[in-house]
Amino acid sequence: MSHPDDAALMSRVAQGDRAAFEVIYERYCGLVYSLALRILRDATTADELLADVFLEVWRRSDRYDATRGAVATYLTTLCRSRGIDRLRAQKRAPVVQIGDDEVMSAIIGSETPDPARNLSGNEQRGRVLRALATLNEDMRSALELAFYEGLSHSQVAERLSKPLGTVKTHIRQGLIHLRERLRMDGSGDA
Amino acid sequence: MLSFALGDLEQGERVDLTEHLRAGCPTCESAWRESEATIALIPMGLRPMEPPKSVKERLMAEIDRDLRRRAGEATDPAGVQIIADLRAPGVSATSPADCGSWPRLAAQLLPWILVACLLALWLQSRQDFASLEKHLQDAHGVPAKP
Repeated sequence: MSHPDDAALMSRVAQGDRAAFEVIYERYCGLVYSLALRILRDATTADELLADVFLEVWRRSDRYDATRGAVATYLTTLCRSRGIDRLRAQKRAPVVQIGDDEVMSAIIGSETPDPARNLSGNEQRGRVLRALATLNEDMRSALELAFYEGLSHSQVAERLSKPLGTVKTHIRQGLIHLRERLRMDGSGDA
Repeated sequence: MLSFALGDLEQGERVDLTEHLRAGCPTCESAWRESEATIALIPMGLRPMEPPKSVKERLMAEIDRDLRRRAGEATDPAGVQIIADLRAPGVSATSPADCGSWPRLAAQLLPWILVACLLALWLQSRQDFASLEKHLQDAHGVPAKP
Protein backbone atom coordinates (compact mmCIF):
# COMPACT_ATOMS: atom_id res chain seq x y z
CA MET A 1 0.00 0.00 0.00
CA SER A 2 2.83 2.31 -0.76
CA HIS A 3 1.90 5.73 -2.05
CA PRO A 4 4.38 8.25 -3.30
CA ASP A 5 2.94 10.89 -1.02
CA ASP A 6 2.59 8.82 2.16
CA ALA A 7 5.94 9.91 3.52
CA ALA A 8 5.16 13.53 2.73
CA LEU A 9 1.82 13.19 4.50
CA MET A 10 3.53 11.72 7.56
CA SER A 11 5.96 14.60 7.53
CA ARG A 12 3.02 17.03 7.57
CA VAL A 13 1.39 15.01 10.37
CA ALA A 14 4.58 15.47 12.38
CA GLN A 15 4.05 19.22 12.03
CA GLY A 16 0.51 18.93 13.39
CA ASP A 17 -1.33 18.95 10.08
CA ARG A 18 -4.84 17.68 10.86
CA ALA A 19 -5.86 17.34 7.20
CA ALA A 20 -2.81 15.19 6.39
CA PHE A 21 -3.62 12.97 9.35
CA GLU A 22 -7.18 12.56 8.12
CA VAL A 23 -5.94 11.45 4.70
CA ILE A 24 -3.66 8.85 6.29
CA TYR A 25 -6.55 7.65 8.45
CA GLU A 26 -8.95 7.35 5.53
CA ARG A 27 -6.34 5.56 3.47
CA TYR A 28 -5.37 2.94 6.02
CA CYS A 29 -8.16 2.64 8.59
CA GLY A 30 -9.67 -0.34 6.72
CA LEU A 31 -6.41 -2.28 6.76
CA VAL A 32 -5.63 -1.49 10.40
CA TYR A 33 -9.20 -2.24 11.49
CA SER A 34 -9.24 -5.63 9.75
CA LEU A 35 -5.95 -6.50 11.45
CA ALA A 36 -7.26 -5.32 14.83
CA LEU A 37 -10.36 -7.48 14.38
CA ARG A 38 -8.27 -10.45 13.28
CA ILE A 39 -6.01 -10.19 16.34
CA LEU A 40 -8.60 -9.36 18.99
CA ARG A 41 -11.73 -10.93 17.46
CA ASP A 42 -13.89 -8.48 19.32
CA ALA A 43 -15.42 -5.42 17.71
CA THR A 44 -15.33 -3.16 20.78
CA THR A 45 -11.68 -3.72 21.60
CA ALA A 46 -10.80 -3.56 17.90
CA ASP A 47 -12.39 -0.10 17.79
CA GLU A 48 -10.24 0.93 20.76
CA LEU A 49 -7.10 -0.54 19.20
CA LEU A 50 -7.75 1.27 15.93
CA ALA A 51 -8.10 4.58 17.78
CA ASP A 52 -5.00 3.86 19.89
CA VAL A 53 -2.87 3.11 16.83
CA PHE A 54 -3.85 6.28 15.00
CA LEU A 55 -3.59 8.41 18.11
CA GLU A 56 -0.04 7.10 18.53
CA VAL A 57 0.63 7.97 14.89
CA TRP A 58 -0.56 11.51 15.62
CA ARG A 59 1.25 11.99 18.90
CA ARG A 60 4.45 10.08 18.08
CA SER A 61 4.71 10.78 14.37
CA ASP A 62 8.42 11.48 14.82
CA ARG A 63 8.89 7.75 15.30
CA TYR A 64 8.04 7.00 11.68
CA ASP A 65 11.16 6.64 9.56
CA ALA A 66 10.39 6.63 5.84
CA THR A 67 13.75 4.99 5.09
CA ARG A 68 12.75 1.90 7.07
CA GLY A 69 9.54 1.08 5.25
CA ALA A 70 6.17 2.05 3.94
CA VAL A 71 3.50 3.72 6.07
CA ALA A 72 1.28 0.65 5.71
CA THR A 73 4.05 -1.52 7.14
CA TYR A 74 4.58 0.90 10.01
CA LEU A 75 0.87 0.91 10.80
CA THR A 76 0.42 -2.86 10.67
CA THR A 77 3.54 -3.42 12.76
CA LEU A 78 2.26 -0.94 15.34
CA CYS A 79 -1.22 -2.46 15.32
CA ARG A 80 0.12 -6.01 15.71
CA SER A 81 2.40 -4.99 18.55
CA ARG A 82 -0.30 -3.09 20.46
CA GLY A 83 -2.91 -5.75 19.71
CA ILE A 84 -0.77 -8.58 21.04
CA ASP A 85 0.04 -6.46 24.11
CA ARG A 86 -3.71 -6.22 24.71
CA LEU A 87 -4.19 -9.96 24.23
CA ARG A 88 -1.43 -10.68 26.72
CA ALA A 89 -2.76 -8.13 29.19
CA GLN A 90 -6.16 -9.75 29.07
CA LYS A 91 -4.44 -13.06 29.89
CA ARG A 92 -7.05 -15.00 28.08
CA ALA A 93 -7.42 -16.86 24.85
CA PRO A 94 -9.06 -14.66 22.24
CA VAL A 95 -12.85 -14.83 22.53
CA VAL A 96 -14.31 -15.70 19.18
CA GLN A 97 -17.10 -13.20 18.74
CA ILE A 98 -16.69 -13.13 14.99
CA GLY A 99 -17.36 -16.35 13.15
CA ASP A 100 -14.38 -18.17 11.72
CA ASP A 101 -15.96 -17.87 8.27
CA GLU A 102 -15.97 -14.11 8.64
CA VAL A 103 -12.37 -14.13 9.79
CA MET A 104 -11.37 -16.26 6.84
CA SER A 105 -13.29 -14.04 4.45
CA ALA A 106 -11.37 -11.11 5.90
CA ILE A 107 -8.18 -12.97 5.08
CA ILE A 108 -8.95 -14.24 1.62
CA GLY A 109 -11.88 -12.08 0.53
CA SER A 110 -11.60 -9.88 -2.50
CA GLU A 111 -13.94 -6.98 -1.79
CA THR A 112 -12.98 -3.66 -0.31
CA PRO A 113 -15.39 -1.06 1.05
CA ASP A 114 -14.04 1.46 -1.40
CA PRO A 115 -12.21 -0.12 -4.33
CA ALA A 116 -11.29 3.27 -5.77
CA ARG A 117 -9.68 4.35 -2.52
CA ASN A 118 -6.44 2.53 -2.88
CA LEU A 119 -5.41 1.00 -6.15
CA SER A 120 -1.78 0.38 -5.31
CA GLY A 121 -2.93 -1.10 -2.00
CA ASN A 122 -5.10 -3.53 -3.91
CA GLU A 123 -2.21 -4.44 -6.18
CA GLN A 124 0.01 -5.18 -3.23
CA ARG A 125 -2.76 -7.09 -1.53
CA GLY A 126 -3.13 -9.18 -4.67
CA ARG A 127 0.56 -10.07 -4.56
CA VAL A 128 0.39 -11.00 -0.90
CA LEU A 129 -2.74 -13.09 -1.45
CA ARG A 130 -1.07 -14.94 -4.30
CA ALA A 131 1.97 -15.59 -2.14
CA LEU A 132 -0.14 -16.72 0.83
CA ALA A 133 -2.14 -19.02 -1.43
CA THR A 134 1.03 -20.95 -2.26
CA LEU A 135 1.64 -21.83 1.39
CA ASN A 136 0.47 -25.24 2.46
CA GLU A 137 -2.05 -25.50 5.28
CA ASP A 138 0.56 -26.42 7.91
CA MET A 139 2.70 -23.39 7.11
CA ARG A 140 -0.28 -21.07 6.92
CA SER A 141 -1.88 -22.12 10.21
CA ALA A 142 1.45 -22.02 12.09
CA LEU A 143 2.29 -18.60 10.68
CA GLU A 144 -1.14 -17.18 11.43
CA LEU A 145 -1.03 -18.30 15.05
CA ALA A 146 2.44 -16.83 15.48
CA PHE A 147 1.61 -13.61 13.69
CA TYR A 148 -1.96 -12.79 14.67
CA GLU A 149 -2.02 -14.19 18.18
CA GLY A 150 1.60 -13.57 19.09
CA LEU A 151 2.06 -17.15 20.23
CA SER A 152 5.56 -18.48 20.79
CA HIS A 153 6.65 -21.48 18.77
CA SER A 154 6.00 -23.69 21.79
CA GLN A 155 2.47 -22.34 22.17
CA VAL A 156 1.80 -22.81 18.47
CA ALA A 157 3.01 -26.42 18.77
CA GLU A 158 0.68 -26.96 21.70
CA ARG A 159 -2.27 -25.37 19.93
CA LEU A 160 -1.75 -27.43 16.78
CA SER A 161 -0.80 -30.59 18.69
CA LYS A 162 2.41 -30.91 16.72
CA PRO A 163 6.04 -31.36 17.74
CA LEU A 164 7.91 -28.12 18.42
CA GLY A 165 10.56 -28.88 15.81
CA THR A 166 7.91 -29.43 13.15
CA VAL A 167 6.22 -26.13 13.97
CA LYS A 168 9.52 -24.26 13.87
CA THR A 169 10.20 -25.75 10.46
CA HIS A 170 6.74 -24.81 9.19
CA ILE A 171 7.08 -21.22 10.36
CA ARG A 172 10.58 -20.83 9.04
CA GLN A 173 9.82 -22.45 5.70
CA GLY A 174 6.55 -20.54 5.43
CA LEU A 175 8.27 -17.18 5.88
CA ILE A 176 11.11 -18.06 3.52
CA HIS A 177 8.60 -19.27 0.96
CA LEU A 178 6.54 -16.10 1.38
CA ARG A 179 9.61 -13.92 1.02
CA GLU A 180 10.73 -15.68 -2.12
CA ARG A 181 7.29 -15.53 -3.69
CA LEU A 182 6.94 -11.84 -2.93
CA ARG A 183 10.40 -11.17 -4.26
CA MET A 184 9.57 -13.01 -7.47
CA ASP A 185 6.30 -11.11 -7.75
CA GLY A 186 8.05 -7.77 -7.33
CA SER A 187 6.60 -6.80 -3.97
CA GLY A 188 9.73 -5.68 -2.32
CA ASP A 189 8.35 -2.55 -0.86
CA ALA A 190 7.80 -2.79 2.84
CA MET B 1 16.61 -13.97 11.98
CA LEU B 2 13.01 -14.73 11.04
CA SER B 3 12.30 -15.89 14.60
CA PHE B 4 13.87 -12.72 15.93
CA ALA B 5 11.72 -10.56 13.68
CA LEU B 6 8.68 -12.55 14.75
CA GLY B 7 9.60 -11.96 18.38
CA ASP B 8 10.08 -15.59 19.22
CA LEU B 9 13.65 -15.95 20.42
CA GLU B 10 14.62 -16.92 23.93
CA GLN B 11 15.66 -13.98 26.10
CA GLY B 12 19.37 -14.81 25.95
CA GLU B 13 19.37 -15.26 22.18
CA ARG B 14 17.38 -12.06 21.77
CA VAL B 15 19.86 -10.05 23.84
CA ASP B 16 22.82 -11.52 21.96
CA LEU B 17 21.32 -10.81 18.57
CA THR B 18 20.26 -7.29 19.59
CA GLU B 19 23.82 -6.56 20.69
CA HIS B 20 25.13 -8.00 17.46
CA LEU B 21 22.82 -5.76 15.42
CA ARG B 22 23.75 -2.73 17.52
CA ALA B 23 27.39 -3.49 16.80
CA GLY B 24 26.53 -2.79 13.17
CA CYS B 25 26.78 -6.05 11.25
CA PRO B 26 25.48 -5.02 7.81
CA THR B 27 24.70 -8.57 6.65
CA CYS B 28 22.58 -9.40 9.68
CA GLU B 29 20.89 -6.00 9.68
CA SER B 30 19.93 -6.47 6.05
CA ALA B 31 18.57 -9.96 6.80
CA TRP B 32 16.67 -8.62 9.82
CA ARG B 33 15.08 -5.79 7.85
CA GLU B 34 14.08 -8.16 5.08
CA SER B 35 12.53 -10.55 7.61
CA GLU B 36 10.64 -7.73 9.28
CA ALA B 37 9.39 -6.52 5.92
CA THR B 38 8.19 -10.01 4.98
CA ILE B 39 6.38 -10.49 8.27
CA ALA B 40 4.80 -7.04 8.07
CA LEU B 41 3.36 -7.96 4.68
CA ILE B 42 1.27 -10.83 6.07
CA PRO B 43 -1.70 -8.63 7.09
CA MET B 44 -1.73 -7.02 3.65
CA GLY B 45 -3.70 -10.09 2.61
CA LEU B 46 -6.56 -9.12 4.91
CA ARG B 47 -9.66 -7.66 3.33
CA PRO B 48 -9.93 -4.05 4.52
CA MET B 49 -13.02 -3.58 6.70
CA GLU B 50 -14.82 -0.31 7.24
CA PRO B 51 -14.56 0.74 10.90
CA PRO B 52 -17.50 2.46 12.63
CA LYS B 53 -17.76 6.18 11.91
CA SER B 54 -17.82 6.83 15.65
CA VAL B 55 -14.15 5.77 15.93
CA LYS B 56 -13.07 8.51 13.55
CA GLU B 57 -15.31 11.06 15.27
CA ARG B 58 -13.79 10.29 18.68
CA LEU B 59 -10.28 10.27 17.23
CA MET B 60 -10.65 13.60 15.45
CA ALA B 61 -12.20 15.15 18.57
CA GLU B 62 -9.13 14.02 20.53
CA ILE B 63 -6.86 15.48 17.87
CA ASP B 64 -8.74 18.78 17.98
CA ARG B 65 -8.20 18.85 21.76
CA ASP B 66 -4.49 18.21 21.19
CA LEU B 67 -4.34 21.04 18.66
CA ARG B 68 -6.10 23.46 21.03
CA ARG B 69 -3.74 22.44 23.81
CA ARG B 70 -0.70 22.99 21.57
CA ALA B 71 -2.09 26.34 20.40
CA GLY B 72 -2.64 27.41 24.00
CA GLU B 73 0.89 26.44 24.97
CA ALA B 74 2.34 28.20 21.94
CA THR B 75 0.45 31.49 22.32
CA ASP B 76 0.35 31.96 26.09
CA PRO B 77 3.36 30.43 27.81
CA ALA B 78 3.24 33.08 30.59
CA GLY B 79 -0.39 32.24 31.31
CA VAL B 80 0.50 28.59 31.58
CA GLN B 81 3.25 29.44 34.09
CA ILE B 82 0.91 31.59 36.22
CA ILE B 83 -1.63 28.81 36.36
CA ALA B 84 1.15 26.33 37.14
CA ASP B 85 2.29 28.54 40.03
CA LEU B 86 -1.22 28.75 41.41
CA ARG B 87 -1.55 25.00 41.49
CA ALA B 88 -0.94 23.01 44.61
CA PRO B 89 2.46 21.31 44.76
CA GLY B 90 2.48 18.02 42.91
CA VAL B 91 -0.29 19.01 40.51
CA SER B 92 1.06 18.98 37.02
CA ALA B 93 0.77 22.10 34.91
CA THR B 94 -1.12 21.85 31.68
CA SER B 95 -2.39 24.31 29.16
CA PRO B 96 -5.33 26.57 29.98
CA ALA B 97 -6.92 25.11 26.91
CA ASP B 98 -7.24 21.92 28.86
CA CYS B 99 -10.82 22.42 29.94
CA GLY B 100 -10.58 19.76 32.61
CA SER B 101 -8.06 21.85 34.61
CA TRP B 102 -10.35 24.86 35.21
CA PRO B 103 -12.72 23.20 37.70
CA ARG B 104 -9.72 21.99 39.70
CA LEU B 105 -8.20 25.44 39.67
CA ALA B 106 -11.49 26.97 40.79
CA ALA B 107 -11.76 24.43 43.61
CA GLN B 108 -8.26 25.32 44.79
CA LEU B 109 -9.01 29.06 44.73
CA LEU B 110 -12.44 28.78 46.43
CA PRO B 111 -11.21 28.62 50.06
CA TRP B 112 -9.07 31.73 49.52
CA ILE B 113 -12.00 33.59 48.01
CA LEU B 114 -14.19 32.62 51.00
CA VAL B 115 -11.56 33.81 53.48
CA ALA B 116 -11.27 37.12 51.62
CA CYS B 117 -15.05 37.57 51.68
CA LEU B 118 -15.23 36.84 55.43
CA LEU B 119 -12.41 39.30 56.09
CA ALA B 120 -14.20 41.98 54.08
CA LEU B 121 -17.45 41.33 55.98
CA TRP B 122 -15.66 41.51 59.31
CA LEU B 123 -14.00 44.82 58.41
CA GLN B 124 -17.31 46.21 57.17
CA SER B 125 -19.18 45.17 60.33
CA ARG B 126 -16.42 46.69 62.49
CA GLN B 127 -16.79 49.98 60.69
CA ASP B 128 -20.58 49.83 61.05
CA PHE B 129 -20.26 49.10 64.77
CA ALA B 130 -17.85 52.00 65.28
CA SER B 131 -20.15 54.45 63.53
CA LEU B 132 -23.17 53.18 65.52
CA GLU B 133 -21.28 53.63 68.76
CA LYS B 134 -20.33 57.17 67.76
CA HIS B 135 -23.93 57.91 66.86
CA LEU B 136 -25.14 56.69 70.26
CA GLN B 137 -22.51 58.74 72.04
CA ASP B 138 -23.57 61.84 70.17
CA ALA B 139 -27.27 61.20 70.80
CA HIS B 140 -27.05 60.46 74.53
CA GLY B 141 -24.08 62.57 75.48
CA VAL B 142 -22.14 59.63 76.74
CA PRO B 143 -18.50 60.45 76.96
CA ALA B 144 -16.32 58.55 74.60
CA LYS B 145 -14.32 55.69 76.01
CA PRO B 146 -10.73 56.58 76.65
